[in-house]
Amino acid sequence: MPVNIPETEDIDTARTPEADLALIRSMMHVGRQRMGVDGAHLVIWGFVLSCAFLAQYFSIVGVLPPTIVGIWIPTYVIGFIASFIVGKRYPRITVENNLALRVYSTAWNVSGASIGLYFITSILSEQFDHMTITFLTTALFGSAFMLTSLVTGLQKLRYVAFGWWALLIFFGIFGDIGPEITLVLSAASFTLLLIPGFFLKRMLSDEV
Amino acid sequence: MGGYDYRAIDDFIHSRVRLTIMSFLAAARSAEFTELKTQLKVSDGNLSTHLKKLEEAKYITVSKQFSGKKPQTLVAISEKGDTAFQAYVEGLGAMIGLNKNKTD
Repeated sequence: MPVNIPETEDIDTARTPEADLALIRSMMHVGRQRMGVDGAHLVIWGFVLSCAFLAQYFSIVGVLPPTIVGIWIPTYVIGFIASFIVGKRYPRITVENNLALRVYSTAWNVSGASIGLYFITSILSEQFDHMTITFLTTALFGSAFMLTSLVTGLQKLRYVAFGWWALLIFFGIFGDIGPEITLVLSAASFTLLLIPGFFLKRMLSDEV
Repeated sequence: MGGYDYRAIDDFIHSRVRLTIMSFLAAARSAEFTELKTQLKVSDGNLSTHLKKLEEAKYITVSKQFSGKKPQTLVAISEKGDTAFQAYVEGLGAMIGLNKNKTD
């Protein structure tokens, strides 16, 4: 929503702090929408991954039938469809004009594609290793959050990156901790994807 | 509605056009020149003048790049600009008796 600004220098015209705060608020809202960090995609993926890891745990301990593909293929399909639907609700952003958006959207796309590619190829070649995908996920999500924080100036996202990297270090030290690894990743998806997503969504409508 | 305490405001930001630029950039972090022009509905010359002032204050960085064969001018808020903008917003809040302002 463009605003009309008089072309003249206006330091001495009658203005009030209240009116200026309102102007700042509306422009920051436009700027945040333009930035495209809406958080909705993180909420979606945080939710579906959290549920999928939980389902995987129940599958491993025998409450649900033993399957990997039966859990993860529907997870990816639901995640992508929900992301697509939510993405259509937001205004299109010209990636080529926005360096920040270009950097962090690339980071997330690379993360998603790498994890997806490993999953598909390892399943097809029957070489799937749950520790490899765990290391890959924690390292890439941490890096994607750090890059997003750096290019958008959203400092709090660094702590989310540290959270993912802390998990990477934890699994690096303790290795395969058994079925509980899926419970840890379910909790991580909730706290380090879904909750930051809510934080970003709230920030978009936040007042100055 | 309170008036302004002009001793407490940053003249580089206080111009309405520059305030709008800074508010937009504080959230969007960077924008292409033509997009800023569209958002603010100002002329090329007017926008250039205000960007020059913000660049002089080191509140923004202006860089030229190419998107394919098309030249682009990319404007980004600097760390100094971020700090100054935060201080400006807090100053406004203080003038109208707000103790806490959230911009992040």
